[in-house]
Amino acid sequence: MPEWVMAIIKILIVLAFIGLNGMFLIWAERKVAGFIQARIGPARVGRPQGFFQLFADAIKMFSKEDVRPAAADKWVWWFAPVVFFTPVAMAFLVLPFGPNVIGLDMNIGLIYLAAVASFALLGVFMAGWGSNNKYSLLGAMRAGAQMISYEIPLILATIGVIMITGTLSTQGIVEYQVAHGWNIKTQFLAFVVFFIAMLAELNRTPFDLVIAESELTSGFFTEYSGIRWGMFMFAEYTNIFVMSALAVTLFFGGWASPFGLVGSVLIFLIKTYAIVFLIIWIRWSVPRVRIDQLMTLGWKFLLPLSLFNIVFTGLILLI
Amino acid sequence: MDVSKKLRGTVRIQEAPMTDVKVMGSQESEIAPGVWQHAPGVVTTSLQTALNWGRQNSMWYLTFGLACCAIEMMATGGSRYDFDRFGMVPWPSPRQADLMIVSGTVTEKMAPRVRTLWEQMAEPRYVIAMGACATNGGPYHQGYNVVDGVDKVIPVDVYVPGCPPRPEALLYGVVQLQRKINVAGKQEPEKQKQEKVESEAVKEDV
Amino acid sequence: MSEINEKVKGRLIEQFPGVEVSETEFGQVEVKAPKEIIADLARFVREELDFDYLTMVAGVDYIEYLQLVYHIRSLKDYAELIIKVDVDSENAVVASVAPIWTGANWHEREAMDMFGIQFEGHPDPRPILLPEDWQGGHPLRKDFIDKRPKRERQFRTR
Repeated sequence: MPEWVMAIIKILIVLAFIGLNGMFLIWAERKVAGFIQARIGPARVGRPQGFFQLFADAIKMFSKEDVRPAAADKWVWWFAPVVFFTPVAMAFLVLPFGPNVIGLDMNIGLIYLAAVASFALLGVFMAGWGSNNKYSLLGAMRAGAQMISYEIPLILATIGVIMITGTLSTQGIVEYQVAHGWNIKTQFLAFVVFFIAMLAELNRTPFDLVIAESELTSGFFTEYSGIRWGMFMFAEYTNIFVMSALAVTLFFGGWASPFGLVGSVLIFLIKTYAIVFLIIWIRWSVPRVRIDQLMTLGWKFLLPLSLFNIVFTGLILLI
Repeated sequence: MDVSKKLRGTVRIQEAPMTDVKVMGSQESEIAPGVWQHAPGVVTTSLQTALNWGRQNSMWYLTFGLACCAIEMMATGGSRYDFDRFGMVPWPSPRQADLMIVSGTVTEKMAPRVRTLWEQMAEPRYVIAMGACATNGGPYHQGYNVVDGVDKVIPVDVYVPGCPPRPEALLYGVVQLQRKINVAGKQEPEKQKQEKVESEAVKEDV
Repeated sequence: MSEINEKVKGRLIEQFPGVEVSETEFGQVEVKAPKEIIADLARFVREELDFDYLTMVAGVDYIEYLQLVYHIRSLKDYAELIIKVDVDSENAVVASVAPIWTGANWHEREAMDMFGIQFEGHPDPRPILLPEDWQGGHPLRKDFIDKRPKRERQFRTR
């Protein structure tokens, strides 16, 4: 089979996975919220547990009217969901699902991921600016402040892992853990910093100031409806998956398993969805922080902690 | 209303009337009349069924309360009665909400805002008038500042009586709305036409 | 408590010879003042007698005339003062006390909506409870008639 056919098939698989994963996570979030709040959650469509809710949501979302505000900046508004969605899909290129199940095993995989992940902010800002709505713009400004300040501890936290494993390739990091055990044993501090910064990067509670419902309606995607808003939702939930998969790859041994190829992929997915569950659990248990608390946590605690982790790891490696 | 214009900031591009959704293919074909008589609109009716199924099971309602009925609405969203069983989630932005539950008294001052919110919602949108006040003014019917029924401002799909209605009543209203959505766009043309005439007659009566 | 009331009464009579001062059965000092001196009276009460908390400003329609009732509390002395001001219903203009007690702002706007009393020197004289374009008169006056047009019911067939 020629290479470009394979590439197209891979892209289609990733897009199908993004769609299914997004719908599944929206359903899972509501179901988990139901359990945490002593409710039932979606129960009327499909058995068991209203599982077809995800299809009903998707049908409704796709068939809704696409309203364009008359005052919106047309092209910026139009392209924002695409710009927000694309980097999320691009991140799948370097996620190692199994021993050979990876889009492209780059030797600069982590740098690629960091570069692509910070690109999503542009989409957020385009949405906020293009909507010509004060809530959208405020949400986008908050997103800018938050995502830029938390990207630094996020990336610095991975440096400890890179120092130990000696590689930037995601596949190489997992192979190191196959040989030496999970990185969480030596890099626990880095994981804590990474996880908190990850929550902020994903705009999830307790750091969901960007889409704070009581203050900003829906934040930067207030003005979007129908399929465009669906793209934002799918990108957000896919982002959760990508970040969780990255955490699993860096700290929890990735696909390392004794059960062959399929077992590896399954183990990887189970670990990833466990982290996703943890994120949803936090969302429905913790209240929102204030913007000054957010900034204090990012710059005064997480940044020094991640720097300390780098120094500490270096000392251990020297000894 | 100067202020409502200022508040709105956006203009609806096009009103998409639901009455124009026709059952395509159900018209008799000249070439093979028999086939269409026995199987009217096989493809499009299935599509309409799927759309209706999706819409009726995923009505995200606007987080929007006007008076004491809103407390009952919140209770219906809470643990014991649980709107989420029907796939209903409170959603803050009117652009992304499907259902507006007008819960409480609509005052003259609030009416333009209610209208604006309704106009900002994307099609298909549904409205439930919850409680006596939203239905016809209720106990405040003769009030100097009370609109006698939210249906003087926006078209209403389902009226839920009560002062305030119990959560069971609101859930029953939601089920009624689901049944209404379920038959949308699926009637035969003659029947639809007849209904239109009937509704015109009702309009004249009122 | 009564000592404070006596003191307040004494100071008021001394300062404003024209006003009627009495005491209600609930231990409040009641002052009936002409509307011309309300600004001076309010400033005196606030600054000299330490009545620092305006509980409410209410309007009453007695058909022949309107009346404004100010309830003011002194948080320091724990005393309550009621000022009643008669206002002509045709030409209802009174000096605003909102510059003296900021809390009077919304109460005066409400009295303006409901009784049509104009407050001179009010910092923000917009309607507060009625719509911005309200033309139907002042609802709490006795001669109010609801003149709103009958509206059509909105329909939508699906």
